[in-house]
Parts: sequence; C-alpha cells; structure tokens
Amino acid sequence: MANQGYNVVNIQEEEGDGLKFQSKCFSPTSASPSGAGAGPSTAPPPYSDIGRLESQPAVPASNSMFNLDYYRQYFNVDTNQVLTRAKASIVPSGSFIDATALTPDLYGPFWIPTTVIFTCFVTSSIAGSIAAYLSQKPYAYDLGVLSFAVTTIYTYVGGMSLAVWLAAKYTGCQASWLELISVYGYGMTVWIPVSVLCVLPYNSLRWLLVIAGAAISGLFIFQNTRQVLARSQHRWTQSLLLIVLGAHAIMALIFKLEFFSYSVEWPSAGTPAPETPAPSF
Amino acid sequence: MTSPAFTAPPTGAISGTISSPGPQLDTLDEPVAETIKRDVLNVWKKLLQVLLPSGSQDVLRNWDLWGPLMLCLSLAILLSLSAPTEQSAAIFTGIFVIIWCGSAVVTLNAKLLGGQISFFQSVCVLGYCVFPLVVAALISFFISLFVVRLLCGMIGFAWATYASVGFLSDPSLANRRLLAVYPIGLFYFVIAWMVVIS
Repeated sequence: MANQGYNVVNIQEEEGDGLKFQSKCFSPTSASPSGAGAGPSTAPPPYSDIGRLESQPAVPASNSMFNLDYYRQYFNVDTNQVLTRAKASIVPSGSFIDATALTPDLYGPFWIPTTVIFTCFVTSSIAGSIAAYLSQKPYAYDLGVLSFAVTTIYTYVGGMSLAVWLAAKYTGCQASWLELISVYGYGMTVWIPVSVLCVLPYNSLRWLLVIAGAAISGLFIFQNTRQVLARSQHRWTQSLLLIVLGAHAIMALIFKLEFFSYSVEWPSAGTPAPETPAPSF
Repeated sequence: MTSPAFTAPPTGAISGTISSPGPQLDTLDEPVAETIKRDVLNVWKKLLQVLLPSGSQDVLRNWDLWGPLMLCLSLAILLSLSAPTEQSAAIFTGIFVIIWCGSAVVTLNAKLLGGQISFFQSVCVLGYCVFPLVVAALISFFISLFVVRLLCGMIGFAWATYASVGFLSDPSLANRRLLAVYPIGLFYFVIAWMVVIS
C-alpha cells in the first residue's frame, strides 16, 4: 500500500517540474505510454549514445596532448590542398611556409615519406630483378632494404626537422616544429618519381636522376629553412644552412648507393654466370 | 495515470533486452567443440560478408580479431615457406608487423581525418580484407610462374582495396575521401607486392 502511494505521489511531482530530468535518466520509463512499441522504441537511445560518446565527444577542441582529438586539427586538410602542397615542393611557387602557415598539416609529412619508403622498396626490387635477369643470375629479394628505408627516411625527416627547429629556437627565431616537418615531409615528394624512374638499368642515368632529385628537394628545403632562420638577429645563423645542405647531400648519396645501385654484369661469351644457391624468382 | 501503467513498461523493456541475445546465453554447458564450431562459423560468415559486400554492416557491429589473426598468420607462414631460408624469419616478422602496424596506422589516419568508425571495427575489416591476398599467396605458392603471380597479386590487391573501401568509406569525409582511401591502397599494395615477389 505504502509503495503504491509513493509511486502516485512521484508521478504528480514529475508532471509539475521534473520533466526534463525524467526524460534524460529514465528514457525507457518515459516511453511507457506507447504500450506495444515499448521494446523497439527503448532500444535506440543507448546505441546512439554509445556512438556519440565514441566518435564525437562533447568537447570539440581538446587541449590534452594525449587525446586523439588534439591531433585532428593537423589533419584538417582536403585532397586538393595536399596535392597542391606536394606540387609546390617540386615546382617552387612563392613561399611554402607562408602558404601553409594558417593550416599546417601532418598528413603530407607522414604519408609522403611513407610512400617514398615503399616506392623505394618496390622499385629497388624491380630494378634488382631486372639487373639479375640481364646478368643472368637468380634474384633473391632483400627485406633488409625495407627496414633500412624505414629507419633512414623517418630518421632524416624527423631528425633534421627537429635539429633545425632546435637550432632556430636556440637562436631566437620563433619557429614551430610543425612548419619544419612540413618542409621536410613535403620535400620528399620528388623522390617518388625519381625512385620510379630509377628502375631503368643505366647507371649514369640513375646518377643524373638522383642529382636532379637532390637539387629539386634541396632547393625547396634550402629556401624554406633560410626563411625560418632569417628571422633571427644573428648573422651567423645563415651558416647553419650549410649543415642542412650537407645532410641533404648525404641523404641523396644514401638513396643512390643503397636503393638504386645495381651493377649489371652483361654476360660475355667467355664467362658463364656463376651458380648461386638461392632459387627464388 | 495509474500505477499499473507505470510499472508495466520496465518489465517489457527488461524482457526485451534479455531476449535479444537469445540463444547465446546458454553456452556455459555446451561442449567445447560446439563453441569452436560456432566461432569458426562466425568468422567464416564475416569473411563472406567482407568479400562479397552486400551492404550488410553486421561485421562492423560485432568485430573480432580472430579472423584477422588467422589470415595474418597463414599469409606470413605461406610467404616465409616460399622464401629463401636465411630470410624466412625476417619475412614472417615483416608480414606480421606490416599487417598489424599498418592497419593500426591506416585506422588512426581515418579517425584523424574525421571518420566516425571505431578503432577495432576498422582493424577488423582491414584484417578480413587481407583474404584475397592470402588466396593469391596460396596460388603462387604452387605456381611459381611470374606472370601468374603478378596477375594473382593484382587481382588480390584490387579486390582487397575494393572490399575494404566499401566498408570504411565515410560519407562525412566528403572532399577528403581520397586522403582516407590512399593509405588503404598503399597498405594492400605493399602486401600484394610481397606476395608477388616472394
């Protein structure tokens, strides 16, 4: 009896002013008058709530470094923007840093070096098998090339941008690491066509291609790091550009010697190709 | 408003939620073989759903990582068996790392671009879509003709990319669709390439 009475009192109270509270916390109860449709109509609210919690948090811009949404602002680019930026690194048109200052992104600086890594792996195995075919030797592909490429390219892009950023910070340039990793990441774009063309089995042509690639990406990196370092009052900061260029030349040499160097020993009539045990390919 | 009308709906709601899982509740005293059979059957059903996309999103709702693990292991074993002996361990590791790290990175990329899918759902779909490449590896394990391998690898790559893009393409990514699709393509291309040259 007492229980029944309590219920009735409760409803009357809620009809008065507690309507908002009820609809939020007791959604199955609030849907009660629909009778037969109670089962299906109660199901959607929990699902949609879970979906919203998981994908669209109520706080749009999180300030925590450890939150995924914090990094969403650096992926706020569309396809055309990324393509334009990649093109701008090959065909210089104005200042790249000024053009990307408002919306710097991390999509290009991550996926362009990643593409370069896999292109190097794929083309070096194609070139290796062509060279092995021309010199009539069996070819065994080397997975070490992939891990080497991963190490070198990520280290170069991440390490050099970090080093330039630290140097710029130290000399009071007010640089952000984001603009430097953009420069270094997008600067790798030219190596994609270069590594595809380096499949051709002519060593002098490969040297030419690597030098051209190094010149194009080197010019792009040089111009933009110079612009960053020019913000400093000290004159001597410009000499840091020599280190930037030196590191870039070493990088280009690594490209040539590790990924695109295949000696084709054209088989002469006198010396038969030596037998090697690896029977693959 | 009377009390019976008020108390009736909660019982309706409770019975509704209990009856929806239905037959899966009494799995405590069934034989182990029965359980394994059902799970394998579930994996198989999802595999078919992923490979012959029919618009059903059921595979996303109850994802699992058993199917991807099995596919990843079989691909790694197949490729390391056909590799030269000094490389087989490296290739096994390489395939394992590429599949799991790759699908995690591709998923993270889609989420950062603004995709609405949850992390493990996407990893699950990407893992299941490796299946055409496992078939390609199986075929090229027995037929070492280069043209056949290249053809198998290309078909496997196209199929895997098509199937996974169908699941993971998000209408909210209007003009950055290509940015989300490109890493998926790169991911399957690398695996397909390793199948072709192994």
